[in-house]
Amino acid sequence: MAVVLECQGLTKSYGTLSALNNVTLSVPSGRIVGLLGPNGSGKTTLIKLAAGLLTPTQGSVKVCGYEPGVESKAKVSYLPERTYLNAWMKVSDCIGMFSSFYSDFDRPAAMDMLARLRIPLDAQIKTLSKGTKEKVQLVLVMSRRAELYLLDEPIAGVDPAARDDILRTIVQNYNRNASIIISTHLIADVEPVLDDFILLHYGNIAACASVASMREQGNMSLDRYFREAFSVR
Amino acid sequence: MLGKLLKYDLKALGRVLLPVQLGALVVGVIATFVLTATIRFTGDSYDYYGSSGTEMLGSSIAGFSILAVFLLSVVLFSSFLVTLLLIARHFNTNLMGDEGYLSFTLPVSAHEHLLSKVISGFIWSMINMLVICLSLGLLALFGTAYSGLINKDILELLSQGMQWIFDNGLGVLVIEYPFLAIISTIDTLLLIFACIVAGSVIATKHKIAAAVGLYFAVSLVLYSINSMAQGALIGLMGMDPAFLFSTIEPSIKEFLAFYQITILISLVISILTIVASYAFSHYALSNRLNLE
Repeated sequence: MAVVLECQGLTKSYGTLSALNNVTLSVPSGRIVGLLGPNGSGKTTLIKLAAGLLTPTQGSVKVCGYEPGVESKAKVSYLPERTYLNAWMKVSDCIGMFSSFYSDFDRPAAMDMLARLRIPLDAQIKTLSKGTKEKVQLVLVMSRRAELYLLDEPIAGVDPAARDDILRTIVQNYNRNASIIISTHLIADVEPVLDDFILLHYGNIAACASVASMREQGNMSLDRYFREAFSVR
Repeated sequence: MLGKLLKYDLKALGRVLLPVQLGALVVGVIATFVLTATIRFTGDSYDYYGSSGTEMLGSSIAGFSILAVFLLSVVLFSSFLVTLLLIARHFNTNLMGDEGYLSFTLPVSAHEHLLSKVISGFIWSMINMLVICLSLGLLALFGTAYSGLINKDILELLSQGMQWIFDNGLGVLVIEYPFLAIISTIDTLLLIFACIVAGSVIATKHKIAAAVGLYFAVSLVLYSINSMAQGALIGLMGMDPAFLFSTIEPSIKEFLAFYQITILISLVISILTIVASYAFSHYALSNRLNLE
């Protein structure tokens, strides 16, 4: 299987604070990977480094063999943990923008998802609720036929019923040859869809395995494993 | 991709800058109307009452005219500042703020991002210049007319002035000054962009304050270099710029030589600023990008 994400000794520091420390990992194609860890463990930093929004302090990150740049960005579909759309744009403007810049954008799929989520095309982004804005961004990101999807906390800001909606949207719409990296601390919600997980703690990889193998070895759910590993005693 | 970026940048800037330009133009039209109305009214009063009877009325009308012209000047200068500020704000939010999360994940190079911002900012700066010239032109041509629609004296004065310029071999300045204005606009925009990028690279907090401080510091340094270079070059060429500060009538040759030097030095400094600002911004956006 082709490697879609490869990190070698990847380190990101802010002054004396190390957000990510000498991380080496590779993610093959066709996997749904949970990027797990408590708040401040380096999940967002790792995703932003892969998306090309941060510059590594040391080490390297490659997407489909490319260092972050024009080529890698054409293959990565990135969902940030914040609203990045122009507030004055309408939903239809955003669809137009994505289909204009990304050659892999599937416009009919986007229209279909928006209709199913009952999001009006003529609504301005600034008039939408936080949860609906997140759904619009998710639709835009999942409508690309990308090779790597980087989803940073896609379900953090929505209610439990909407979480199922969003996870369904993700799993039903991604390019099957691609990989998805989902960063979250809501493990129980995402666990059913994950193939593998990467557990980060203080910027280091604490564990990295397939969900199935962990269940076989420890005979416990990923959620319970996480709670035991990071419980405050 | 540059064309696509440009389309979105022009649209985003147009949303906020079009009302500013229209507002400046409307104030220009109102000021023109107020000025011409007061001038005509004063003229009529003189005819009716004679000069002594209308002294008080005339002075208050003159005050009103001066106020209209003063307010127009303030509005036009503000439109210039607001245009620059909104172009800078668009650069900051679209690249260094939350929107940067989308901008920098588009499959677009740092060159294309920078060029799009410079071209769109330049187009809107030129539109603002046009609006300022148009407002002042309206005021001069229509606002100062005592009778009829246009003040023909102004046209006559303009034509005589141009004739004098070309007769005395100063025509080159008519081409050089607008060219310098264009280069200076690009230089100003790129310096602002470079300072915003530098502010966000250098500072961990108060990035905008850092960018503003940096802009004024660099501008001061560039202004000092410009003044020193002009002084040095004028001295080297054995020229005496005393005519600028006295009543000595300069020869046309001296006048032209002096302004050629000031234009040349400003041009060289502007071009160097453009190259340095662009190179720095491109390097920082490509190799030092850290969106928080």
